[in-house]
Amino acid sequence: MRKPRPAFPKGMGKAPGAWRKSVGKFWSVLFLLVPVLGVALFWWAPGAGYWLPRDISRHGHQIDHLFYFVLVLTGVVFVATEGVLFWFLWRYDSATNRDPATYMHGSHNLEVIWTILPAAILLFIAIYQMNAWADVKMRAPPGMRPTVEVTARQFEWRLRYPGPDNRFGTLDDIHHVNDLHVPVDTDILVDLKSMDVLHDFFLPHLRIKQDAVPGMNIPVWFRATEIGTYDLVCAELCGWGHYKMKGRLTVESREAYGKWLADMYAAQQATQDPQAAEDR
Amino acid sequence: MHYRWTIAAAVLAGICGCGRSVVSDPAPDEKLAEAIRKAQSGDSEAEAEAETAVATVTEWGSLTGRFVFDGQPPTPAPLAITRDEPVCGRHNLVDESLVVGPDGGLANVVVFVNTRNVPVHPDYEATANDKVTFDNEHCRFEPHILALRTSQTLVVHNSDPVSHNSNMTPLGDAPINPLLSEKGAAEHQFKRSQNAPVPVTCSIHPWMKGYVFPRDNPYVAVTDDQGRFTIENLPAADLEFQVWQERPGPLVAKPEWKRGRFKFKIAPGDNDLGEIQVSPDLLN
Amino acid sequence: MQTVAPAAAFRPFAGGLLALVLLAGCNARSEPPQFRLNMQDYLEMIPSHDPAEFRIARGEEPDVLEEKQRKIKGLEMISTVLFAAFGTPDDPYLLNEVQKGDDNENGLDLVAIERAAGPVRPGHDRSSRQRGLYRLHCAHCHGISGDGAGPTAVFLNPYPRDYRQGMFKFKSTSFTAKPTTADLKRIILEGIPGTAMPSFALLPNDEVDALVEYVKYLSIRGQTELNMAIVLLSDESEIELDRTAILDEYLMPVLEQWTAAEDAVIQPPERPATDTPQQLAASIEAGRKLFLSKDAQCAQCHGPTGLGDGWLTDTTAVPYDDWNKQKSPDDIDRWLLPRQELRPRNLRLGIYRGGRRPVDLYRRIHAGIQAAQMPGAGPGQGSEATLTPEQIWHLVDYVRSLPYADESQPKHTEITLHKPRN
Repeated sequence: MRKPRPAFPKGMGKAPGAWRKSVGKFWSVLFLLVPVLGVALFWWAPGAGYWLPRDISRHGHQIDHLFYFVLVLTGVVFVATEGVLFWFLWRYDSATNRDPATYMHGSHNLEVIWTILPAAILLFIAIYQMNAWADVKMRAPPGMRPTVEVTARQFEWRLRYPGPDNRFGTLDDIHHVNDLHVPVDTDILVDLKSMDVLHDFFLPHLRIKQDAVPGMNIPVWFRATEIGTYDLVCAELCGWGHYKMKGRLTVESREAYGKWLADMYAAQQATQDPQAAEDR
Repeated sequence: MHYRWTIAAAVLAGICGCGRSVVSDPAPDEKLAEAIRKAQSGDSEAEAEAETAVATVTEWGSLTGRFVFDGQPPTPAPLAITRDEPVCGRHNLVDESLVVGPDGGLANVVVFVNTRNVPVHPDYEATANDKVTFDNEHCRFEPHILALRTSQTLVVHNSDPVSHNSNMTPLGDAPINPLLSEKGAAEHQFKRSQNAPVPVTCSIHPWMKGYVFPRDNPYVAVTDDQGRFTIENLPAADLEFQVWQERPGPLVAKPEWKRGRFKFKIAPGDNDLGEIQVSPDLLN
Repeated sequence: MQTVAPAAAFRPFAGGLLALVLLAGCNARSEPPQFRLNMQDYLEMIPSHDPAEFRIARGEEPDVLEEKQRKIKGLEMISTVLFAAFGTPDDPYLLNEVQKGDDNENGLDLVAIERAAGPVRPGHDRSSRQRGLYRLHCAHCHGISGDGAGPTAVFLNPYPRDYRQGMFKFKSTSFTAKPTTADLKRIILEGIPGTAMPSFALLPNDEVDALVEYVKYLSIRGQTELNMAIVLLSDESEIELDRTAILDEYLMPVLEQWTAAEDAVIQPPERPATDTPQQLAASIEAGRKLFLSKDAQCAQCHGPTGLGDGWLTDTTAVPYDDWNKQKSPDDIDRWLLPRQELRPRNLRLGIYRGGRRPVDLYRRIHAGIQAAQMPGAGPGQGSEATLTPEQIWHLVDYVRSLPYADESQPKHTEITLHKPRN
């Protein structure tokens, strides 16, 4: 037995049956818009500048490849699923569908397929990405010494270079803040720390994203392949000033980097104001 | 009709959320402010008036008095000497915030003229530019309270074989904090007259506390062990005096001395306030 | 049944109204922020006064009432003068005499101040300039009035600087002098390690300059206000609403202090040679002896090992800075920020608030730290030097060596890389 429905507000203009008929189709078309607009958005975004930042790293292409691979895979599944949803909505709209509802227990075969297929895909992804993960997180180039120690702190990046003696924890360490300089085409090992809470060391152009955990020294390595200045941001909500935690990565030629280090060292050993020294 | 309640609740929430119940600061008078902004620099008659306000006085008198602690003289608490014991531990230092002499005299009460632009006796000119020494001796300040004129120069001296520093932050004047090694000295000129003695501390020896009191006139006295004070050569006129003691600040020794102040007409010659009994309750 | 439908349809409308009132109502009606009068400091600096002096109660004695009315009137005058001379947070103003111009190069730069003041207004494109810089970057800690009591201040230790007394700790100038423009800029660019002040190193240069100018503006405004308060509350005379008097007595003396700062910079004399390891070791050893000596007295506060624990041996020590020491613990409600203790620095951490260059440490020891308990050891304030420049350099060498001494840190371990498993 159908329950009696409340009358529709006046002014709808159409008889209840006709209105309900169009609403049923409306919903199915609305749901069809989701995959259509979704695909359109992804088509439009790269051209409009809303896409991954330019990759300037040695390992970045592996990450990007995985990203595109998973994007295509999930995209196909997404479009297919939405298509099926649309078809069911349209075909079995209660306003037009006169077929009586039938009771079924379910399809054992179908359930086996839709359990095994995603499991297989996930397993495949898990295996497929292992190499990239190992390259980025495990297989450090041999014999590397840390180039710079990055200590995250609310709300800045404190940097320390080992100085002329190439050892950390000595009087000639070079201290700096927020402006990370590295030489181009060189493997860089970062000793990542946090002074207070969780932060995340994120170099979007290098596809590097690593949590900084208080009490841990976490190695991060990368090789930048293009000279320029890039973003260094915190990608873990670390407090009210999280947005302030913006640094800069400067990739420069080895000569320029060496000169910058020497200048920094000289500035740090100053026994006079540079200005006053010039005045003399 | 419950939607009405919803609206009422919404309006109420709006009022409560936005209404400021904080007591606001006095608002500026914008018309006056505009007048100040537009005024030309220059004519200031008020200053000229102030200059001529100083009347010529030919007669002078002195004021004496004695403050007496009205109760059993307390035993001063010994200070905990935690630094430089070999030097500072030998002097049996005690808390000097309340010093009562053997016969009940209340020492270290400051009495000074509160009236502004008071004429100064010519005899004081001889000492107007003196150097006045505030010594660090035996890990305490000597004297405990030093009054001086702003025209005089303060010399902070160290007579101890250990370093001291003398940290003071006078109101509206430059703060100083010289570090003094053995026999070291620092000179300082105050720019501003104070209305209460300025505490002086030593961060190295935290028990040390003294006071320096720069005034623009010489009419300041500090009571001695017997509780006596004398201010010489005051102009014979109606003057307001302020009484101050370290513990309460303004010392309301008599009920009619509002905020520790009293008016007194100085007659030519000697004037005596007599004995002023100070209740121990005021000094706790 | 018929009546249910309209009510049900109306409910979302009422809810929407609620949301609308909550969201839009406040913004539409809220007043622009105003500078707060510096009552806290009046009361701290002039202890004989308490808040009740600014409130009139019923049935008060005529002379008390008269005195109170005089004071409240005085506060209105202070408020008027400050408004006339400095404007509001949204609309800063400077009298001609205080403004930087062709004939007055010591004044403040009103254009820069206007850039830093007001509500946050982003530039429309990359070329037009960000405005409201102070509220964007500073106000949540340092407060609209520069009182160091912004919304986040209470969570911080040490508290953000209250500019209004015109006291600054980390500067290149003598103990009592103001910092130079370069000093303030350096603090903004490098931050203060060991405190909540972060680095703003990546802000464009002109934005940093605007912020420095605004900090000076707030500080000069605050000190002008204090000068008037001292006259009103302590000297107990009237504030004259005369432009010349205001400038001469309250404002210009403060501006002159800022101008004079550039001449009060401490330039350390040549450092004794420490080129060879032997020379350096000798200097460090000389510094160690001085550190423990009765002359320099460093160890009394910083402890014999430099751990900043010297004060611990002493229960009578009152470790407060000038911003905190007047606050009495039994009257805690009177202050926006509860009293906070001051600690001598632990010199073995290698964290230097005022900068880590040798010249910075030299200046700390030479001039002391204003408003903190650290006295200056160099000549100045009319005193002869406690330590010679050479001795100060030895101390600098010793202090700089402390964080790297073997016993300072657990052995520094370099990070070990994950072992590849394949």
